[in-house]
Amino acid sequence: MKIAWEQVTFSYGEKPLLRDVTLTLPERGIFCLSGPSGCGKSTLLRLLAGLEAPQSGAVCVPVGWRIGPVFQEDRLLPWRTVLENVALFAADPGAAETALERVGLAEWSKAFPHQLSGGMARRAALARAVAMRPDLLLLDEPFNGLDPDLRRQIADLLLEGRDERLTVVVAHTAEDRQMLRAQTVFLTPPVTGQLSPVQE
Amino acid sequence: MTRSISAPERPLWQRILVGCGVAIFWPAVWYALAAWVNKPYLLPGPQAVAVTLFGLCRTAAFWQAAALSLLRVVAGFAAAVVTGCLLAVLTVRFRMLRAMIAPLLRIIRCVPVASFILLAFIWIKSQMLPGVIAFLMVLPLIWGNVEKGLRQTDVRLLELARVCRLSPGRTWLHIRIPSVMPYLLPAMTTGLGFAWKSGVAAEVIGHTAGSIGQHMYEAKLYIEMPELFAWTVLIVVLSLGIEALLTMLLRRVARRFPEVTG
Repeated sequence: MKIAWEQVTFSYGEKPLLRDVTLTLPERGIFCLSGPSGCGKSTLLRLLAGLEAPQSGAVCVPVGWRIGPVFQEDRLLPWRTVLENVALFAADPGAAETALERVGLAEWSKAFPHQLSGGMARRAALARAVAMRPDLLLLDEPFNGLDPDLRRQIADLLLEGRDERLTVVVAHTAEDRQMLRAQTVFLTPPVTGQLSPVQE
Repeated sequence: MTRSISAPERPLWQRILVGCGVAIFWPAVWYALAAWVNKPYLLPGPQAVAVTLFGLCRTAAFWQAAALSLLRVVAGFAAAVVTGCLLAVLTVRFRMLRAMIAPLLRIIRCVPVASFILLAFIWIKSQMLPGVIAFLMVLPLIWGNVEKGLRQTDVRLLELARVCRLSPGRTWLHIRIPSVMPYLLPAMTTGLGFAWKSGVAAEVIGHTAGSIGQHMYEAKLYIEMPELFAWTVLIVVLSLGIEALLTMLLRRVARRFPEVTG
């Protein structure tokens, strides 16, 4: 089983964002994507999530894999409490409460998303993804709006699951990448050809 | 996300005082106008209407008329809500169906209610007429609003549901239906008013047996103005009562969606 982008070409307009991109990842571990804004990091995640189809090439994700996403926006259902938001996608009833405890939001489980700060909403979105017990965790800038202590806490949570699932993280700062002890794929526009993760 | 800042609510005693003031003011205007006209067969005073209404309350025909009219209007309204919602789901899903249905519903919205009543009167039984007319008047409103709500559903939430493989049923229950609520609930409140006005108009024109409309028509025919006013008061009371019930029900529903319904 492998997770791969194979000779993927993708564009939103006429100019290709990704051209013949090939990248293969193992089925367990944490990998970061890093590069300047607009270089295609989020697009690589969207392709993996099945939200975009490549214009040519193929994206391989094993059949039946559960995908837990954290998008750039928190995407919490505004009409549901934090707990309900997490429980709706959780693998089992207990998973939601456990995940909220892990991200430090247990006391806010009955709050609605509009009552949360930006950082809390970010953590709620992360709890939702983790509670799914996914095989593939896709995190697009998960540390945005979090202070250093919370970054550390979230990184620990992600590190705990590194042998159970594949985690692909869009992370801008070297500090975040070091906290995750992850190999990083550096993207430089135009993103083209074979890509490989490297240890910083 | 926006928050509205409103003035603090008035104390209870002030609200009661204002309510009583309004409740006294308009009947007083009515009383003064009737006294000034001084022709009860043209404009009866509130006293005469109250006496007539009290007299009518003691007859079985009054309650029967109220119950039947209420039943017909509510049935037409409920059918329009259900059909409008289903139709909106289908027209959002199938473009071809929308292309066919949308002009028809827009035309229904523009045609005067009297034209519909007169046409429908020829084709259907007068007993069915109020319900059918209420249905036709409310249907385009519900369809238009629900369709708009469905189209405004946050695509990002639908993407989330897709990636997380939320079943279609749960996606509807947890994302699409709550997204439609802010559009459906006001449409229902407005639609109920439409249903009452058009339903009773259909009863009057269609002479629906044993209905409020028929009693109004007969009162007008025999220039029984206090009775005509009394039936009108009944309509207002029933309309306000059922609107209050609906509002109460919708508030309960809205509590489940605090952020979307405000």
